Amino acid sequence: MASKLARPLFLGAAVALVASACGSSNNTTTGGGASTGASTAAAVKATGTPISLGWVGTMSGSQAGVIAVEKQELGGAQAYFGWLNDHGGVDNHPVQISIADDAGDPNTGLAGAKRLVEQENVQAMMFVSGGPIASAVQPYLVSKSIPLLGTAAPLLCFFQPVQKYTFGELTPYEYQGSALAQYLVKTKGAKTVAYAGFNDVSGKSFGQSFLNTARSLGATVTGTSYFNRGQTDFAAYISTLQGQKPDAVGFFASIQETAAVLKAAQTSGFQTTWAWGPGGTNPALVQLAGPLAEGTYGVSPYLSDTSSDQSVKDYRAALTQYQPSITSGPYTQFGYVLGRATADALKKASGTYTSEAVRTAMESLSGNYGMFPAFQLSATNHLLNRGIQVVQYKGSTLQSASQLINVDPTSVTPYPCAA
Amino acid sequence: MTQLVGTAESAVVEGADTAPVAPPPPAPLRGLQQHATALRLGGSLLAVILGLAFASMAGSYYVFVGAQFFAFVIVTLSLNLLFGYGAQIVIAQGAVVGLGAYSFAIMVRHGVHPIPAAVAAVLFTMLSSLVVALPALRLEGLYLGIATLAFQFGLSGLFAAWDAVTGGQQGLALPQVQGAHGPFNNDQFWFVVSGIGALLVLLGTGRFVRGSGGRAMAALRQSVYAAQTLGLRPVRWRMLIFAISGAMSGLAGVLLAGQIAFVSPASYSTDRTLLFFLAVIVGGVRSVAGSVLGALVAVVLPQLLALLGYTDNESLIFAALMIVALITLPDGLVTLPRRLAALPSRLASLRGSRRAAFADNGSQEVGHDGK
Repeated sequence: MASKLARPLFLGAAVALVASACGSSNNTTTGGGASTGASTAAAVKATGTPISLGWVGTMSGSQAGVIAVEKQELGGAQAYFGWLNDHGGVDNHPVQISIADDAGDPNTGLAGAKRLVEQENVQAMMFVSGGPIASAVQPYLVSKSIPLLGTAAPLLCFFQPVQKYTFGELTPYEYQGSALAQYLVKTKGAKTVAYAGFNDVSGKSFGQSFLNTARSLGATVTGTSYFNRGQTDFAAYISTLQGQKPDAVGFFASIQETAAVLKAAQTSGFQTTWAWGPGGTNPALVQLAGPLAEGTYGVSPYLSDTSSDQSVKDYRAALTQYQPSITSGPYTQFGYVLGRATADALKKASGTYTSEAVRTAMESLSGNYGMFPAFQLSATNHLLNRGIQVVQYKGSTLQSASQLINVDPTSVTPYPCAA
Repeated sequence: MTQLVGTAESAVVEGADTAPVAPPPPAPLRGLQQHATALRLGGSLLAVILGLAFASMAGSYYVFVGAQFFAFVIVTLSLNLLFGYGAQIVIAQGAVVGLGAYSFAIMVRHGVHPIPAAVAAVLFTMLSSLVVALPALRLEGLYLGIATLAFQFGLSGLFAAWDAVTGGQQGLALPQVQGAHGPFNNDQFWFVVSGIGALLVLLGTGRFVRGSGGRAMAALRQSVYAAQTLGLRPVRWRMLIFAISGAMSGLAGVLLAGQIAFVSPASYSTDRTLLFFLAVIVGGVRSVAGSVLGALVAVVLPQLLALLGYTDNESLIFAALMIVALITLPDGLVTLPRRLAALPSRLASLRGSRRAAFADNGSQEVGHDGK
């Protein structure tokens, strides 16, 4: 019996693998080095020895939402390095991103990190997928004194207290949740709020902060719900919300679940002020939800990508030229900023691209990239961005709904990292 | 009883349910068979020496991948025992391995020394596997598969949701036990431990499937009723292979958890279960050597593709290779040498049949013309 079933079982598994492999991302080479914005450097192609940086990301597997987000993040970094390599690189050295696919598995992620460090001799890791993969990989990176320049899971616990080899370019979830609640309660006047989000560390850390802030501002929390990634049936949840009648709902998920909840709300005729976490704050939502996304809000750690600020214009130009197939959104901005900060750190290391030189340079980085508040890294601060902006879907784009704000660090409680 | 079964099953060879009596091996091989035990022991000793040499000379990355490979060998053997030899479709191997990993991690975090913790984790997983076996007493085929898939979903959910015990989605980090690695560094230690574990499991499984256990499994695969007339008790045998397989999976879980000093639901998901299945089927169902090849494909091939620079589309190439492997070698990679050896005679036979067909066609055409 087993032999008769072996072939169809295998074919099913193989088809699933092929389908998941469709999420594979491009591995390109880009350059680095200019510490100014894209508009100011001369166009001279970098021709020196490439500088290799590592990237451990989820490029295949069953988590389509994560793959899509990480593809955007990588695309943003590649866009910046693409531009930079065409404009002199880092002291004429092009910068190369070496990629390892973790397939959503910590064991595979650690194997990939070891390959990048030991076989491809990367001196710094630009990015490691968040949550359990980062938890499995980080001790190894520390043991090898390899700095991690951009954490994918922006949790305060990675930065309080400061970890010598860990840096971050993304506003922590705790700040994001708090800023969204502040906007809904103070600006939109919501008196009752509800929250739903992923049943994981990202959804819970964002949600805890969202709910605490809403309560502290006097709003009543009508309900909290957590669900697994990939859930598409929200009819029961909407039914519950109809009973609670919240003025606003905070919702932390990828665009797939976000579109699904909007469709369920439309089917039930339920109306409220929807406000998304960073996963739902993505122009690609319009492709899935169409006009249902119109008027909803979201949080972005950066100025809206429709902003007329010069820094955003430079970003858009680089993305259009070097990664035209990638949809712009906060995660591409994250990759772009990460690329820029990495390039600036490499330039600061001035010819000594060892892991310790890069770490030291990163630790003394400061500046104002325009897309988020000015920053000053130090031995006691490894977090580049603490800013947040609330944006709103208008047409098929995200428009600024608030000023770019810095969240008060004392107003939020850090969510615990891996036990 | 065993003697009776042995007689009845003497016609069944590994890898084929309905194979005729195996022909006697050529004279030189008969000589080797007489010294099989000595050869196995010698081979094992050589493997240990080569493994130690590899661990001391190779870089940390290769040693880590090697350790992962050994753990996968144990998982694929445990699944092959159930699915291949026992004909039990169990789609929960990821979760069962996870049980071993989590129970080991939780005990170590609570201060239990790693060695008793590992033993307890293996025993706990073995006993838990008997719970998975309960549906097997009433269900067969895909129905059993679906029932066990529910077990996979349930345990995955438990790993992810029971924050206080399992650490939830974030997982649990294992503390380093000072001085526990002896003369080895962490990667070398787990390579050696995993290698010894895989070797013992390989030898044990080989002995089991070649002996009365294998013959009983073969009898039950072909006809439960016929096997019962020989005095075999299907329930007892099923529970036994579930228990053995569970213990093996528990051991693999301990090794996987130790290698990265971390456990999380992502490592023991349905994706992992499918990968284990893939490894067994691509390597060769009902074959010990096939299990090793399957683990090699599942662990080493993706790393090899990455080392060769196929990082853009590594998983796509991997999947395509798997499909090609199944189409060309439906009985698994383990049959490759046999197929290659048979190739000249098959080609000769093909040429002969083509010539015959050509001659036949020619005569028919003449007949058509009626001239």
